[in-house]
Amino acid sequence: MNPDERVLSSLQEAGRALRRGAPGASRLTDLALSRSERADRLLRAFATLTGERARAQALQSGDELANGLDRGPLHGIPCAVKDLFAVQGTPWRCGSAVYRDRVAAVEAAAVRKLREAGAVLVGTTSMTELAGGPPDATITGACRTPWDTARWSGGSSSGSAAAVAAGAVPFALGTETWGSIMTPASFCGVTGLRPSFGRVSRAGVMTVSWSMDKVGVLARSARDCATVLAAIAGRDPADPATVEGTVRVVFTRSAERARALRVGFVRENYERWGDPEVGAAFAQARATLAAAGVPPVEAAIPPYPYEAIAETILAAEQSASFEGIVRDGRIGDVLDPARRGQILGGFAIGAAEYLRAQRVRTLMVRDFARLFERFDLLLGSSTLAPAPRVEATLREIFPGGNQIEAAENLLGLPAVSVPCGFTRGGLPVGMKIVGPHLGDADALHLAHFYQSITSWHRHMPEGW
Amino acid sequence: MKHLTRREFGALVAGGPALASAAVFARTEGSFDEGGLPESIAGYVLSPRDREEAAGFLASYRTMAAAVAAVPLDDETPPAACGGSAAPARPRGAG
Repeated sequence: MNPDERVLSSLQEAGRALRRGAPGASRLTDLALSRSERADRLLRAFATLTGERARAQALQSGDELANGLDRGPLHGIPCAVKDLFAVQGTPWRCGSAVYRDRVAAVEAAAVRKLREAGAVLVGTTSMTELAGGPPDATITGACRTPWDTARWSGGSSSGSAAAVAAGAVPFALGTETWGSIMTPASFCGVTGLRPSFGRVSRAGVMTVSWSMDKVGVLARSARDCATVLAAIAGRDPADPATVEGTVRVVFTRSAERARALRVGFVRENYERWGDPEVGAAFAQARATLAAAGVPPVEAAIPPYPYEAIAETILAAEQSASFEGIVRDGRIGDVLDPARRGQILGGFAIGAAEYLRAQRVRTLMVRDFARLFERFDLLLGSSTLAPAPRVEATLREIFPGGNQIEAAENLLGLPAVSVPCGFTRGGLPVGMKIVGPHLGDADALHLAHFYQSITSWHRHMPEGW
Repeated sequence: MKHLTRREFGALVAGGPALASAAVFARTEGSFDEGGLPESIAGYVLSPRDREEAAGFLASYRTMAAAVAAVPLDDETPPAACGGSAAPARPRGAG
């Protein structure tokens, strides 16, 4: 990376450079497009590159900044969004042959907010088809982590994490229904923010599950994630689940605030479900925090069949969401046979079964409220193993364990995944910091504090 | 039973999943015999492979449903609000 390119690895640095005028907005966008083309060629990180649009936006941003019109921290910053966000006039394929010929006629609310904030969209990023399935279940081909191109970048926000990790863009939007930001953030060694359910509008975003889908951010640092969140959060009548207000985190007193937090951690069985090296990195991260005055205490999560509850709700809502493609036969274009079976079989989930799962979810809300009376935040491993080879099956990648991940997504809890080390083979490992619903700010404060005393998030893969 | 569009279903889920699920899923329940699959789902004719995959999903789903069914519930527990962030306000004993 040359010095000009290096600013692409940090939103803050890119912003400072733009205001110095070196490089200018157009030059920065050209660099981002060039690196994005490389990330697409070597990693398959992009679905569509929007060079013409990006250059026009950059020109406008440069003129505005030169004339004293400053739209804020995203002004002139290159970015990308997952292929399930509608970008008007751009292919909107959601990683699937089902939508191979579709061009978005509308603009997703989050994309509109980025545009209004002056961000420059260089493209849409690759994803697993319809936001699920194994690495190769996507029309763009399996996306690879730049840390080892024989290995998967994670899913379903595959390209968003890979593009940030490769230094193509300082940030990209992703979504999570169940692990789709935490997993790629971990496999790619970047910071991932999954905001609380309802923080960010999903209008113009493909639906998997109305009650579990969240829009989030992949970036280099917690500070960068917070900057993007502030721009895209807020109530939107087009998404009735959204809540009023945004999150503006001022990091000047993060250390003081972090040391006042009561932090718990969830112990996992890495020998059975993952990789002990990931467990060792997580233990080291806890020790680092403890030495800095934030000692995590083991927390027991309430005993529920979380995966069964999440699977029931997700499968039923997914079948309803994709009913249109079943009715017109396009379900036959879904590449992954197991996903077709899941969507079709989900129609057999009865109303009473779905409602029972939702009622058990109410008990979970009650019990986690009690847990969060004892703890302000919970720590866990973002994934229990590092990036797998792209040929791996979903069962091999996610054999089980990580029960809290299903719970987090059922409860709409915010989480920040931060890089916390590497395996001996050089693969990144992630730790997640989970807050109570609408507790995004505390999770970001602790993530920023951790990144202020460590440098894992600043490592770049060799050759990028 | 009224057929809901995806948009209508989304709006109902956002407002309360109970209403949405009752409206949509009751319509399909009668189509399935005990553990089996119909010839078509929502008009889509299942291929042998799709039938096999859907049956495989349902077999694993039945195990999950049993786990969910084993969680004790009292009569007063309502379904969660959208996103699970808060239960709908309904005081105990309310009619």
